[in-house]
Amino acid sequence: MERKINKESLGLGIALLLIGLVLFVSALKLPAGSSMDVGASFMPKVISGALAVLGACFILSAFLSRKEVKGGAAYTRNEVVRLLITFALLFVYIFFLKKIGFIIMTVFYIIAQSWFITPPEDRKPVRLVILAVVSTLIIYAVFVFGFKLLLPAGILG
Amino acid sequence: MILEGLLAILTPLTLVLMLAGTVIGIAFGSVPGLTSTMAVALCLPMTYKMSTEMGIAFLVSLYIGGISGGLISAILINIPGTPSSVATCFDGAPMAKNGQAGKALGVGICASVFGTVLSIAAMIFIAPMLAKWSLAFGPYEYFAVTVFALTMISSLIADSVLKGLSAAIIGLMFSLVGISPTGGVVRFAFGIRELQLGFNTLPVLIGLFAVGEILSYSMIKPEKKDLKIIDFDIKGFGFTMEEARGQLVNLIRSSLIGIGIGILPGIGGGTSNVISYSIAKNQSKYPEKFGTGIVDGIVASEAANNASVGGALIPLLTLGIPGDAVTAILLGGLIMKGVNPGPLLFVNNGRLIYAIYFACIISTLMMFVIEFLGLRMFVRILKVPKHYLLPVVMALCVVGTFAINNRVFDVWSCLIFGVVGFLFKTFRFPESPFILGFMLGGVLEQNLIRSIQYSDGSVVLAYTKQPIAMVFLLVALAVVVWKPIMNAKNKKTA
Repeated sequence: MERKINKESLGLGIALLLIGLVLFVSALKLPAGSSMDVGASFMPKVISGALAVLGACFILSAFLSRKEVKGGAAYTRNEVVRLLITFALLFVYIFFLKKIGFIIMTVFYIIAQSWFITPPEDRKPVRLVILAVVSTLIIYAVFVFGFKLLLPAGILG
Repeated sequence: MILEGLLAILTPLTLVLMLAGTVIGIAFGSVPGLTSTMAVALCLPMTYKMSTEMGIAFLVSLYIGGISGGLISAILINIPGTPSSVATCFDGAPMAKNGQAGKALGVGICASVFGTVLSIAAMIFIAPMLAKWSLAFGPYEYFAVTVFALTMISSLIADSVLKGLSAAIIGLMFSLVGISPTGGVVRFAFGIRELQLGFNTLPVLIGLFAVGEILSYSMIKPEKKDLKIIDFDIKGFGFTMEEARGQLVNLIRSSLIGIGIGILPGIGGGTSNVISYSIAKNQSKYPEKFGTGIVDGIVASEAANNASVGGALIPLLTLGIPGDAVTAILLGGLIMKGVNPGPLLFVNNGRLIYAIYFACIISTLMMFVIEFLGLRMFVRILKVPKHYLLPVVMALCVVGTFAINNRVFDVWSCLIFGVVGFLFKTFRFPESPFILGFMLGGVLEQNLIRSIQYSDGSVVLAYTKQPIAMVFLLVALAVVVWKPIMNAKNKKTA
């Protein structure tokens, strides 16, 4: 029987093994912090070592596997682009949260994100703006007045 | 103490919060894609300024509502609202199709209540005994129980033990970031000042359970879909007393399965409903009718998933080890309030324990009333499109993580754990072992190091002299070894 390699397991295994090894090496540099050899650096060594061992097990299982699994997560280019756009929106939202303020940034984010994930024929600008403003104000009121937590006021403050 | 606990819950504000919690929980439970885990994680920051009893009562009501809410969408649109209601679809959806939606809902709600009540009774009965027994636990036992919990969840929840264990180890890895409990050394901070105190629990939870979900939803190209919600008509409870009597054995059996699975660390309603359904089918005199729309199926699934609530709370309260993902968040909530769950809680803080018992009982009552009276409202929530809901949920994630410390850093780490959650979903790694590893990392380390220090030389030898610890460690080992062997056997016969 021809052996087939499970590429997904192989990839995961290599990644975990490398991460485990890198962390293990950096754990070796930690001061023990205790008179005995079981101080602050003990657990990091154990856990990163375990991670590396699990990585090795994944690699082993990739070669023992009987079915062929293609490597990668098998996402289309389009899907990856969509993911990156959402990620970028979140990045902008968080980055300007303190500088511009919670209310403005949240309204902006809800409108942008919702517009992006709504099917084009379903997009209703007026309804969306109302939803964004109302839900932002509700969240703000609940957190600031109800639960007495602080939110960044930004340029409105 | 009993009275004190009851009084702590019976304040108007707490009751209003619990009512809100139950409604929010049911809403999150009923909308597919939003889960009870998410609801509890998102509402955790709101409890920041509340008293311990009030905060926990609020979270418990979210939990109980959330687990039950899944049945609404399972029956009316044939999509489980949460993983806990997967098996409810099997008979609930056919019943709805046959024009018996009202009856299916009534049966589901009543079975939910029955399961919850029985599990709360079990909790009140079992928890103090377990607590008394575990009072004698030292570092050996705690280390062994923690390892047991982590391996159980890793091997039972994932299709691959390797993936489950890796998830747990990665969670443990993240828990190491920051100042070490022994020696006070800053670890894995990589020169980032904010990391010196380690990752805050909340961004980790919200990132993993909410942001990850939103990231993966946003990838799918939006298409116009019409949601078909079956109309229903419900009179009274929707079923007769005679029918209820016929289900008594099924109710009790399913609840016991739910409680048992709930007690096991790491797995809860998401597992128990499916197992209970298949056992009910095997034990039935008419297994061929299962799946065609009979009440037995709904009863088995809904009694079991709700019974896991009380079950999952038992190890949380007595050992500080969460029984499932939601109780892991409750653990975070308790720690945030400076309460360390464990056997000592029963000795020192009986008031809180009774408050939790009463919170469970009262929110079960609320769930019962709200689900019957508010069914039409929840159906309307089901109709709200996801593209409106998810951005608002995301905004809530950002607010919640920011508000705990007023640091944007926490929001960034929430996003990072969102990416971790997304990667986990992509490669089918289970999230619960990660959370358990992250939450229990400190306990694991402290007890391991203490047990090494106690042992005075050979640790392995010291452990062999501790019978309770040995049993837990051996079972943990057996579970890890047993699952791959069974998988290999199944593959050969298949």
